[in-house]
Amino acid sequence: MSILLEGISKAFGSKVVLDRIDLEVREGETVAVIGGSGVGKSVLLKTIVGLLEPDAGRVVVDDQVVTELSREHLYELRRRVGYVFQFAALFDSMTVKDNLAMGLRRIAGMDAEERAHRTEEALRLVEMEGYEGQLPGQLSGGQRKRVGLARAVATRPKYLLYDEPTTGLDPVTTSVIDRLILKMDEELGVTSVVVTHDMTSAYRVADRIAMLYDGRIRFTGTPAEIQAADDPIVRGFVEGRPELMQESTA
Amino acid sequence: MFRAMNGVWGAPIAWVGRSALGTAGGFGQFGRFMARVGRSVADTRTWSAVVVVQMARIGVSSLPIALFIAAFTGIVLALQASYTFTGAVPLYFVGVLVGKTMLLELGPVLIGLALAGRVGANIAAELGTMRVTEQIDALETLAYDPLAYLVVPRIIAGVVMFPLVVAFADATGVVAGWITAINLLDLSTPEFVRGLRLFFLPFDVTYSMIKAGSFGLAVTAIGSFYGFTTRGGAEAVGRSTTQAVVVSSMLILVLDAFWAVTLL
Amino acid sequence: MSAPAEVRVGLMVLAGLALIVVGTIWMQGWRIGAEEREVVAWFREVGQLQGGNPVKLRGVPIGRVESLALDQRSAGVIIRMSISSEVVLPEDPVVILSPESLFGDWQAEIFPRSRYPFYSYAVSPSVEMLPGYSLPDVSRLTAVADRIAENLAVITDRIDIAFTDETAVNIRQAIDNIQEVTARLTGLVEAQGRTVEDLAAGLEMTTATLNEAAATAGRTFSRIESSIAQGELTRIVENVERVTLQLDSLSRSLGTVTGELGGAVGNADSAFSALNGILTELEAGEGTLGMLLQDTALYRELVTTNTLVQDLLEDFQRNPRKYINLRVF
Ligand SMILES: Nc1ncnc2c1ncn2[C@@H]1O[C@H](COP(=O)(O)OP(=O)(O)O)[C@@H](O)[C@H]1O
Ligand SMILES: [Mg+2]
Repeated sequence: MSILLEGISKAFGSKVVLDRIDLEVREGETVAVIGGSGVGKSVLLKTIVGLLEPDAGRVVVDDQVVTELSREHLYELRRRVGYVFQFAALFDSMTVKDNLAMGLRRIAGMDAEERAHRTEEALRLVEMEGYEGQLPGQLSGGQRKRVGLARAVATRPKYLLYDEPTTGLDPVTTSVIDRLILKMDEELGVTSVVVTHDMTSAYRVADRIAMLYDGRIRFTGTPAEIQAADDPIVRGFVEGRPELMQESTA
Repeated sequence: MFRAMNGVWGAPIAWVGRSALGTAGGFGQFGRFMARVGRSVADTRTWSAVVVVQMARIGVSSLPIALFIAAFTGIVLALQASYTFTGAVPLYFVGVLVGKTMLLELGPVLIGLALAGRVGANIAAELGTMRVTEQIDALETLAYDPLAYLVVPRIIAGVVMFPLVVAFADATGVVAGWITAINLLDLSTPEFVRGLRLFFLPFDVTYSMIKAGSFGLAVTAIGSFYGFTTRGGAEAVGRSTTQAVVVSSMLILVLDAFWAVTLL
Repeated sequence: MSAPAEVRVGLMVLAGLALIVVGTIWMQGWRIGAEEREVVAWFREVGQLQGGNPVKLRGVPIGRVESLALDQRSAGVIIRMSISSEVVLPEDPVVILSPESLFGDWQAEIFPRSRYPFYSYAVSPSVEMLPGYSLPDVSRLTAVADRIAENLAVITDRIDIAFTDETAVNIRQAIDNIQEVTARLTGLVEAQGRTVEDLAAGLEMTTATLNEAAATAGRTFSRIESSIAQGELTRIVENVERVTLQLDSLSRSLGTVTGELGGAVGNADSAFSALNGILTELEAGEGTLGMLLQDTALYRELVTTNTLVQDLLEDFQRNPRKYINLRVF
């Protein structure tokens, strides 16, 4: 009941984005993946649910080898995984309620009443009650992100993958979302991967933090460990001091 | 010598080479895409829920523009036929020309080209936007096969609705030509109808419908392909849209010739 | 948006399918609600007739051809027509197939036999079926002229070698017929000549050749008539040979003009193949040429040839424009 990445490599053309990544997320654990923009955090997250196929390596989720699953089994597995997209990726031709219902419709034996109930519950969780009938275009960026989160949790998944859930949000909304991530973890025992470059959020929600740098995992450890790290690259990123990172590469 | 070639001809020759490779690669990619779409047709549960909406968007909403085009085509056909036939050919041949041309060629092809612009561009833009905003990925994570959910219903709607749109267009063109013939030309209804029926074969209708169906397939499949394979941002969506229209228009003309060779 | 998508799509699909079905039927000339009945006719061959062609009575469309089927057992063609049930067919009805217009579409016309008694109607194997006759196509005129020439050549050869008084009668009858045909050809050509003036030079040449041939033939035949009585065989032979040559070149000119119909020339008329068969047989066998001339088979074949040409001429005279205009395009 965990997520396991073994030797994942991924290149686009000649550009190597991931280079033999190993990462384990244990059951119930929340791991934050940090790293600069364009370093491949989203690519890493997408390989976990098979949205991108790695060039090499193995992905194991919930004891199933994602990279070897048939399409039917992959879809079966995806029902147990919620994915929160960086820019929400709401279906813009559908209302908020219909966006949430999309995932619920794939759950066998769920009637309309139950769907309405779950939708309501998920929207309450992200404090977006009353927006059921709105179209995504009518929402602000922060609201869209919250609806995206609601859509991912509405199906009550065992795994949650967040792609920069707090980027671009105001501090209040950020802490609302952070609390929500913690709540999902604590109440439902969800296993999560949170991709972020917001260290405050990472410290708040993560049991462990992994830093992605130059195609490799540069560092893995608890928040306390990462704060004590003396790798200049890690410190430069964590403390927001690019000069440290430059010195080391020079 | 090669250096000189490089200087003057290098760029165009390289361009031809790249285009040829690109075209061949494009065919392969399109073929694989269609093979995957074919497999996704089996997922009836997913596409059956949304196919009616696509039929309304692709078929019903295309009707006004199609009928508009057809009406004017019919009028022009009648006038030009009478102009061409001056003296030598009996005037009831206006009916022959309007009926045959409308059914066999202009109905399907003009409507096909118009809908390549309308429907094809629309599909490419919509799916392209969904691709670059990760909505297609989102569908995947919600356990939907995006081909079954997005592409199959559009293609089915195209194949089913294009022939119906063209049937209405054929009829509109013929009626417009008829009205023109009896009002602006020295022709009576019985004469026009005689011409209309003179060389009519039921196969003409079948031919028109086969053509329209294949155009529906071409326009929706090409639009879906370019939309689905969009990479990048808003600019890429624009590029996909343009390409979808250009390629599906060309494919319509190629198919037109293909059917003429194989079926006539 | 007014109605939901399902309703709009449903309406469009139903209306579209109805349009396709009703439109197709209407285009085929179906009058909804009209009572119809079936008429069947029997033909030796049917020219360019197709299903859907009109059936007419005294020029009025009364129905259409439904189907054409080969009758394997009796080497004929069975045509089924449906006609309006109010229409009363004439006494002793026959069906004649002919081109309806100059563009190759044919029609089936119902006549009382008395109107065109001399056509060789195909005798139907069943009483239910009306006798039918298909007018020869213009392209066959060329073929016919060609064969007349050939046959005349053959006859000439034979006359040259053997000639008896007995056969003189037969020959004169045959020649009478040929003469009549030639006269008709001449009349036709003259009539056409006026219409044709502004047509292609090739056709004018043909006309001229035809005229000349006909004139020579006329002269020759009148001499034959008198000479037979006097037994001046040599001159007969010479004259017939000349006619033959003329007709030969006529048929060749016609062949050039009707080049586009050349394919049809190849269709040998059964009468002529039969004739050729007989001739070769007799030549190969013990039969003497005298016997051949005495044999009424030759005479009969000549008569058949005449009938064929006469049919064609009748149609020419009825609808000259049909044939003449064909050249314009
Ligand atoms: N589908 C793709 N095709 C080509 N290049 C891609 C694709 N997806 C991501 N990349 C490239 O991979 C790199 C990592 O991207 P990404 O994972 O989105 O970065 P981030 O860490 O900011 O999430 C970027 O340089 C991006 O251009
Ligand atoms: Mg990213």
